[in-house]
Amino acid sequence: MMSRIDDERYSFLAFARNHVFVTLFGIVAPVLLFACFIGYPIVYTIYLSFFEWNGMAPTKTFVGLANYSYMFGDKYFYISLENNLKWLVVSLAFPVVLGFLIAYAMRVRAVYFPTLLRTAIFFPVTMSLVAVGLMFLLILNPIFGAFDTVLRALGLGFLVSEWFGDYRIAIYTLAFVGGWAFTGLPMIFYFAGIGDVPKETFDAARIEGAGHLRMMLRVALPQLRSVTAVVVMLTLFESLKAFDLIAVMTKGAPFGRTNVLGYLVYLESFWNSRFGYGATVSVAILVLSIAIATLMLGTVFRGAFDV
Amino acid sequence: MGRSSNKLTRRKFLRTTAAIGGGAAASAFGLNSARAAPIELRYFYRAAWPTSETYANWLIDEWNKKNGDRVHVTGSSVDGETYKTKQTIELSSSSPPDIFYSWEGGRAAEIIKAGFSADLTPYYQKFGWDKSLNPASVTLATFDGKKYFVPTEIGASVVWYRKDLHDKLGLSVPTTWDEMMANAQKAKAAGIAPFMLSNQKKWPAQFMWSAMMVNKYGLDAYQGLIDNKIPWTDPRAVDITAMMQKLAEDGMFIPDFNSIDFAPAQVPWTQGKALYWYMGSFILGSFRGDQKECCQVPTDWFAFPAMSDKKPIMSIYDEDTVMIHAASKNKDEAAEFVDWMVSPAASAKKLEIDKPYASNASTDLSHLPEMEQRLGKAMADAGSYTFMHVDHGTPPAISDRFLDGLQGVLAGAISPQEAMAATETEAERVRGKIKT
Amino acid sequence: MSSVALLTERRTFKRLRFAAPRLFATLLAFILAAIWLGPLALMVMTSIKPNKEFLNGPFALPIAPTFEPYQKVWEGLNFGVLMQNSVLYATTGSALAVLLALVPAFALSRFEIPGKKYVFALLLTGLILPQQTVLIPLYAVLRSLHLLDTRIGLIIVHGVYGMPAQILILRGFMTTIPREIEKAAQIEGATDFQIFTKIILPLSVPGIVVGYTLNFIAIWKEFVFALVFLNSENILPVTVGMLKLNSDRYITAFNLPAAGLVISQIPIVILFILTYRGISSGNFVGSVKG
Repeated sequence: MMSRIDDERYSFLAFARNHVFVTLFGIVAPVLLFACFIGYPIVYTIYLSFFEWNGMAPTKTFVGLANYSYMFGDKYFYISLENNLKWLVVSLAFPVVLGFLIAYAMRVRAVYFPTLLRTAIFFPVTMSLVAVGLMFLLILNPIFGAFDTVLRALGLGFLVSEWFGDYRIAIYTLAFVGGWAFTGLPMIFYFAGIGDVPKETFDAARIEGAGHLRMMLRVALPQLRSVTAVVVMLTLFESLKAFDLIAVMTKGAPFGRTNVLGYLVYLESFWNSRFGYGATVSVAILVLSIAIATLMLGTVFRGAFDV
Repeated sequence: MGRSSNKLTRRKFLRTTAAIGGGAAASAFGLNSARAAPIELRYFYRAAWPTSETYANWLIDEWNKKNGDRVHVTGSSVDGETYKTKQTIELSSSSPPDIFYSWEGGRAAEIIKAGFSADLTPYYQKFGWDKSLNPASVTLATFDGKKYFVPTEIGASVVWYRKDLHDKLGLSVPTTWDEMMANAQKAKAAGIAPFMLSNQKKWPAQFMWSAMMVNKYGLDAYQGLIDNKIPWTDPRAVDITAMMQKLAEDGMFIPDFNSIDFAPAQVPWTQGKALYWYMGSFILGSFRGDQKECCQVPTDWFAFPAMSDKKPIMSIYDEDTVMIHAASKNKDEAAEFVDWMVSPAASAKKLEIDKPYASNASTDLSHLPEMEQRLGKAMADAGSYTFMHVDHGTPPAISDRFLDGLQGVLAGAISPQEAMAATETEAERVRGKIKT
Repeated sequence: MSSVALLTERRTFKRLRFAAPRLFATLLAFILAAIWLGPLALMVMTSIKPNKEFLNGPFALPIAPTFEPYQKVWEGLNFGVLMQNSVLYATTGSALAVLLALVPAFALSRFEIPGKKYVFALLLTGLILPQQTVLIPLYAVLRSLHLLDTRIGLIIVHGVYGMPAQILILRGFMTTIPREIEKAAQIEGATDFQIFTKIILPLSVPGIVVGYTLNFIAIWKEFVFALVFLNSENILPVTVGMLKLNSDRYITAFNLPAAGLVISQIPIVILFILTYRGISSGNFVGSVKG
């Protein structure tokens, strides 16, 4: 039985009585699993953030809000936060925009061999970031790295930099490597999304003499609002989760300037044996993610998920 | 790699059965029901080098061949970088390893304080380790009069130099800082970087820093920092940091040193792009490369030279150490295995398939190249413990901040004062303010 | 559905002849493809280069190609075992995730459940959560369930953590299934269970394939959970085993990490070939956006 929302006296119990199977396996079971494996860890992390614990001692020391007040004065926290935002900006500007452009170009058949392009761009999505990191460590190496060699061969030798050693650019290097591995995802999403746009829409615009730019901005994008919402959300979560590449490639070096919040949690917990503080930073990530997601869903993407 | 796959499979099989049955349950079961079942020991180690893994496999296989029906050892390893993460988790788990790789210094102190490390003093007496092992290494294992770990590999930091380049430039081995700097200038004039530095992961720069600190201001001053008696903002620490900064500014280190990692640094070193490399003796593993014997290019060493009227001191420390878990039910058997690890036979094999130097003082070095033998002898003659580099000496939280600071200074991003202030702030968070 | 739409779309765009020089665009596309394929090709080349040849520069073709690195990595890291484990975790973990997600997706796509909003909020939280933030408590959970260092423990974790994304994907897919058939079935007195198994499930197969594949890739790539929750070497996945190639003290044998990297991608290449049409056509997007 569906759509009983009009019934004013409708309650969860009534629903459960009418739909035992759906309630048990569709709601109760997943919520229980969620509570045990995801919910409890979150609650515990929040609990832990009020303690000091070295991860080894049997007892934890209650410190109240000390970890939080420390966090708000911690330079490393702000550097990490800033880096997460930089990562997000790079990810939105590079893989998302490029993914959209490629998808559009393939859909309007602006290029020959679209399959080759699509395969090439999508493949890294399937690579573990450990492998991606190892690979780019070799490629961006200042001594025998292929990238610098290519730049020099193209007469762009002046662009050669210390990709990981220069604190001003290291985080961008990482974000771009991350973007390289990520571009395939927005591309595929947009590729399918544009395919679902009714052809008449494009035809009409075409007859009116619209160029590519107008087709993209005025015709395609407005139709792709929900795809964009998904892509932006994915990008947001990915950039807040950024961890693997940093763990493999820089470990926060040079001097902590490539730390991101996710890596800071790891560093403080497992390296510096401050699990309480690590939990505090975790809570910050959680609050931040939820806040940004809520903000986006409430404004730009209102109704995009028709929840 | 890939030695005796037969045994490997057997071990893996046993491990699988243990894992399926749930470690603790399986061993408890084994004790009660079948008398013939051997005692199971778990050895958890850090495989920082590919050869560490090969060597550990050999150690375990040999042991099980001889004693497997009585005491059976299973190994599990984690790569060097992630070992610490796993160690924290493993040690506090309900089925901790019986024997595990530990570190010396600050990290060892943390583990001991948390109560995971068994007091090994009785075993030192029983097996005579205080006599058989390098005395310097044993001093390091002593905390409040008790011995908590057994060193299996010891290391010394020295200045490695390219013999051929030295000859080509007509240089002689320096005994003072000024002589070394004069040589450095000549190398620089000849277009060769005076010092190799592979500082991408920020740990290598501290080697030179601590050696300079000790040789310029004395061991007491350096030890004061490590032992939390002198704050990091002390003018002497700031001065050494400033000296390092000056070296970087003067182009004394190889270009892009903050982007070069330890392993890739072998390439410019082999190409003869740098003259000196102040580094731990574990680097001999890299110098050896694919060859059976060191080195791929003509290499020799000298002790870090004197910087003042104080007698220069060579850093000797424990590179690899093992502890026995306080909760192990079979400490006696675990100690037997540790005794096998530091036995002359195992030590000799270590030099063959892993790298120098074994902690056992009577290890036969005769088949090593003369240069390595000389270093081994210098370490044995040092008598007692000298000093550890910062990341071994202090708890990780402090050393991490210190290494960040030093890397920042070398990159010209922050001042020596700022770097040391940041380290001190972190140190205060760990140990509190130092009362003066 | 999308795949049908896709075919017609292609034809449509063929008729749209833009003035933009297609050759120029294709040239750009080739450059892009080179940027994306270049690193991979370079790794393949690096993996068969003997150590000594590294001094010849990154693009020097191997003079005496060797497969020794492959043999070394395969034996040294016990790649056969790692590979088996990775395949096991990816296949079963994603199967579990999909299984757990099917009925909830059905529920969310078909019923006006009171408090639905909160369910979605929960799901999104599950998606957002960075792994590092839950490692310690999750470790404790697994310990109390005696699931630490067991294959089944890791599979359950992957299953549960894959569930939120799968619910969203499948729910989106199921909402696109027309309701007329169910209405007819309902009139004939079919139960929820019958509607689910007889109508929704068969029609959801494309969505399930897509969700499963995405989850497979995700588990294949994952290393933090495996690193922390497993110890025994015989149950580790490729990603964790490969960390050993990242040791900063690795001798200058760059062909070894390269070989490891190439090997680690082989199963995914196979999967890619098998399901590529499914993934790349992007059918799942229709489902995600709902």
